[in-house]
Amino acid sequence: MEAQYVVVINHEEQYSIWPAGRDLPNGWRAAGVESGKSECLEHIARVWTDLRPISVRR
Amino acid sequence: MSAPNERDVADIRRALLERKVRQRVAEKAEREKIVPVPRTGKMAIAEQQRFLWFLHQMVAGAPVYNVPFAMRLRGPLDVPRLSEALRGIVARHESLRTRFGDEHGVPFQTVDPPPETWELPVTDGTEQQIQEWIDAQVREEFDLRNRPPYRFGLLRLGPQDHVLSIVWHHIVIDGWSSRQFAEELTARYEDPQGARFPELTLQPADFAAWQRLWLLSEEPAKQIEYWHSAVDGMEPLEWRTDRQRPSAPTGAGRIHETRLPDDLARRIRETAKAEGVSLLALTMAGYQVLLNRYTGQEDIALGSVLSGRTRSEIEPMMGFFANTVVVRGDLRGNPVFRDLVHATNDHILEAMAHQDVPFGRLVEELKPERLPGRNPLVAHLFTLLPEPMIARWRLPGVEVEMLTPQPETTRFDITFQINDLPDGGLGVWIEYSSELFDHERIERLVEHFTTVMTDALSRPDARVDALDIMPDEEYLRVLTAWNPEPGEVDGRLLHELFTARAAEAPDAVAMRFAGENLTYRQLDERSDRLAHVLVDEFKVTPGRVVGVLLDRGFDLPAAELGVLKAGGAWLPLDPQYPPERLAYQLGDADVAAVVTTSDLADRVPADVARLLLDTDVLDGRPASPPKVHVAQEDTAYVIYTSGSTGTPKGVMVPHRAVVNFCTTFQRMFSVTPDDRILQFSNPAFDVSVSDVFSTLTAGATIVGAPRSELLDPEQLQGLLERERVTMVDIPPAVLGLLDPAALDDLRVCFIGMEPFGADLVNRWSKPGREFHNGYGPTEVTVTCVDYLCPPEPLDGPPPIGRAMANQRAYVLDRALRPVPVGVPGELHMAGAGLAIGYLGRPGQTAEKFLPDPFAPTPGERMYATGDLVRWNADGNLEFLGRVDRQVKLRGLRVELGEIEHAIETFDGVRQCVVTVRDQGTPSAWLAAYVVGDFEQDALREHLSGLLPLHMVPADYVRLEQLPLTATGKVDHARLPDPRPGGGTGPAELSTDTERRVAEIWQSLLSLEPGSVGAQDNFFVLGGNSLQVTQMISRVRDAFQVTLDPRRLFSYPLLSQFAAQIDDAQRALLGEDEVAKLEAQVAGLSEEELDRLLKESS
Repeated sequence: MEAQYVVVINHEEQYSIWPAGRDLPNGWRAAGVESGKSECLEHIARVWTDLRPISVRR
Repeated sequence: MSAPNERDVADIRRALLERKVRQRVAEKAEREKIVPVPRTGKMAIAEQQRFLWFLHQMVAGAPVYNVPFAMRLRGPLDVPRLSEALRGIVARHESLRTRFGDEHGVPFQTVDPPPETWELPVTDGTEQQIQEWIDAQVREEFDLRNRPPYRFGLLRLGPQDHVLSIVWHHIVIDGWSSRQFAEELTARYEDPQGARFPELTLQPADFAAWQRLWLLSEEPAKQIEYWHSAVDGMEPLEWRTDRQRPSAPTGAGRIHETRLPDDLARRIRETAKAEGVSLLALTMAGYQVLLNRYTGQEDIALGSVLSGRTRSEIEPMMGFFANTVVVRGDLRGNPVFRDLVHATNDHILEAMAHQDVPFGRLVEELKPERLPGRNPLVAHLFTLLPEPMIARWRLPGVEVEMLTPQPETTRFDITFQINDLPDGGLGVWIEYSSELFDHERIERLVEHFTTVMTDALSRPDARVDALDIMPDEEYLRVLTAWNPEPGEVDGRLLHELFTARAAEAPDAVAMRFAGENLTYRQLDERSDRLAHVLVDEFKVTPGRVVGVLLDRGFDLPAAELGVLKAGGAWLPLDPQYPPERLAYQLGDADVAAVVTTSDLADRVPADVARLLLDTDVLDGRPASPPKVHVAQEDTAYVIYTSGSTGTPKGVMVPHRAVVNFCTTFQRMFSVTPDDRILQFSNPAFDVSVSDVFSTLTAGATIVGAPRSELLDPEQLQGLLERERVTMVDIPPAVLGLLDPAALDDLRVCFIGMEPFGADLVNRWSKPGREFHNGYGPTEVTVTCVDYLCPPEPLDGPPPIGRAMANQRAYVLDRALRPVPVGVPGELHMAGAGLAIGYLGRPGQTAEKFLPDPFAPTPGERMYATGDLVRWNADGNLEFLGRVDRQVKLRGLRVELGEIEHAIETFDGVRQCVVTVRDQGTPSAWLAAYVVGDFEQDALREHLSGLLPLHMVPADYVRLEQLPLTATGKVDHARLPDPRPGGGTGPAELSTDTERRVAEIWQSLLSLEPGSVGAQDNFFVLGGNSLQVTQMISRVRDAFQVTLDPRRLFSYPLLSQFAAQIDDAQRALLGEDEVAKLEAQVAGLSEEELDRLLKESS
């Protein structure tokens, strides 16, 4: 079976992925998508439109 | 008389049938019984022995298969009685009176009568000589052809203090028999008269004769079939060694002995009992988990030794019956530990049921890829010495203390043996190759085994993936102790660091170029004016990208600073880039404008705005920075790197990262305004950021020059001397072309970008000049890991060191867990050096910039570098290659980068790339594409000395330059076919020796006449290790020279091997005689030559 990941997001609204079923690293929360790696990355490509940390987005 | 009724008939038939079946079974059993055979001069030897005999030839005199026992005997020792006891054993057991010879490569045995005279050699010695003496006893080679296969000796330390040494060759006695030997010795010593040992009716030679017949029966075929399916698709265990496997290994080894903690031993015994599994199965499952973590492999194939005592007749014999079997652990799907244990137990039971096929026979059947000095099929053993097999050495009235002789050899890469000790504990005995592994590595292996067993037994229902293998101390060491403590960070913007310097010393020289000076004030003012134009005319705001397309010179730093002061991020563009690449980057980065000059402007696509610095555009603009609000997390520059996908990606580096780099650089090298730093790097690469900004933010001077001057070693040397340059960051290949002698001012060499050898460091490093090995991907800002080479000479390539200030290096496995010291993993970097991500590529950014699970503060990320590294014992990182450049060659893992690096160390080679052809097929081979001037044969020989044979490329193609893709990567699709037109026909045989060798190979390997060519490889043609000895024997018959069988592994091509024979023949005659013959031949006329050649053929 293809390895499963969850889409995660931090306080700066930076996105990433993390192996499903493992404890999330401190400071990261699940963004509600769990799937194969490429699906997770495709999701991120759609929703993460400004790569800058939120503190410098204007 | 009444006819028997039907029922009676049926009974009679049944009875008759039963009788017949019984008869047949009895007949069959009778046929299969081991029976005495006549003793002749040349008797068959057992398959186990044949295989060992072959290995004995391969190690050429090394005492690899000598089995030693040594013990201190304190108390009144009756030496004549001990001697007599030993004589009794030798007289009773033929194995100790057996010699081995060979005919045409086939070994035979001869049994000698019991010795007529007998003496136990006694030597006087002292306490200090004990180890040396027992080591000498084991290290002396056995002459199996002419001498007995044992050596007994007594060292007399005093009247009541002795050391007894007993050594024999493994070919006659195995572990099981050592117990018998010890028991018989005790009994005979205890009671020379009373101890009666029945004469043996069967001896190992009888077993050997029986085994020959048995091998012709149907049973072995069934067992072999089992093994075929059992090892189908087996992946050899590829444990990365501490040192490269030498091309001609010597079999040097060490023994490490210790005990598992008693508490753990007790729990292992309890668990094995409760689960109904063997101690071997339970401990081996733990070891499989460990090796899975070490190697990343899910198919863990280990060898294990079984007693081979499957027939009762063998039991009283002293001999070599033990056999190696393969046990595979399947860790796919992350099983629960308890299930793994039961699966392993089943595998071991299966192996035991099929253990009669001798291992050597199995190897011949399976034909695995051979490596010199590495055992075929399995090079790594995990085995259990059961309590009944542990020899108990006792002599009544004498206190016996066992000693550990060091044969300094090893049979396998590693043998990890659990000893089931009589006191209830579990011993660990490890024999390992000291050519491959450091002692510390082996100690850690035991530590990790202890940790994983402890964890697994505390929660047997956990999945193996969850088990800990590292003790807490090591975990903390690799994650925390070997990373720097968080230090001070400078909260300013990159250009603010510069303007502060400009304000301090406005007239200081910021840059030297072509003999001219640019002062800090001039640079500050020019960049201010440019910033105004960018803000006013091109609407640059924070986050916007501005292209910088300029030749080297004063404009370059001015443009970069100008973009920063406008709040934007500069994108350096190389004027040498093809127009498509420029257009792609400008479009991808959506630049607000390109800063360039009139002569380069035609490279800029028409729809992109441009700003020409050689016009009056800056005139009249204010010489003070525009007011813009920029934050440290805003992007300072964007640099494109080529990605594995083929499209270059723009890395966005924020002020925070580059400021941290520059301040770290200044502290590391104590940069002062007096420093003059070379600007060598192409401005489109991020090392140029260091050259320019590490210098300007320290108030020092950049030394620049036109590209042509930098790339000419003589001119570069002149520049460094003339400008009295104090620091350089240049590629190792360029540094190698320079002369260190005249560069007294050069105090720092910061070298990196590609691996380099010790020579370069040793040539350049000196008191007063630091030599650093720097490492860093663009994503972590120029350099993030650094190693300061020690003042003393290096004997190997330097490591890349540790994370620089405010950064953290993690070496992680595929599940993102830290790996132990010495185990390869992917380098992940975290901390102040991290880029923001890839411009316009959120998916790729998310894939490579992952949550940092070890971060001291929440929500941090770490960058997966794609580089394979490992920690060395001192806590420095060693670079091993790219994670994605590992290929499989006939099941062996090969790092192409390692081969390329080895080729590039050869004189005359400038660049190279190695590829695999026919990958995934049994005939896969390596092709090297090399740019430079070199002799192919000399290069091949050079590589044979550096790399294991399977890593030496078969073909070499000389190229003027490597074909590149638009992104500057090697274009593999455009590499020419090294064997155009198939090229499969055999290469012509050019010498008489070659032709005769070809005949030998053809007959030995059953090949068609004419099918073997000069460039054919013995092993690729199907030759196996046992045929090697046969071949050597035939070569001896044909050429009267005896070659070391290992030569064939180093020279497997027919032409190479034939040349070895020629050399050996010449060596046999001696130089003088060869010279005489040469003179004779030289004096012959052409007609005479023709005539002689015709005569001889």
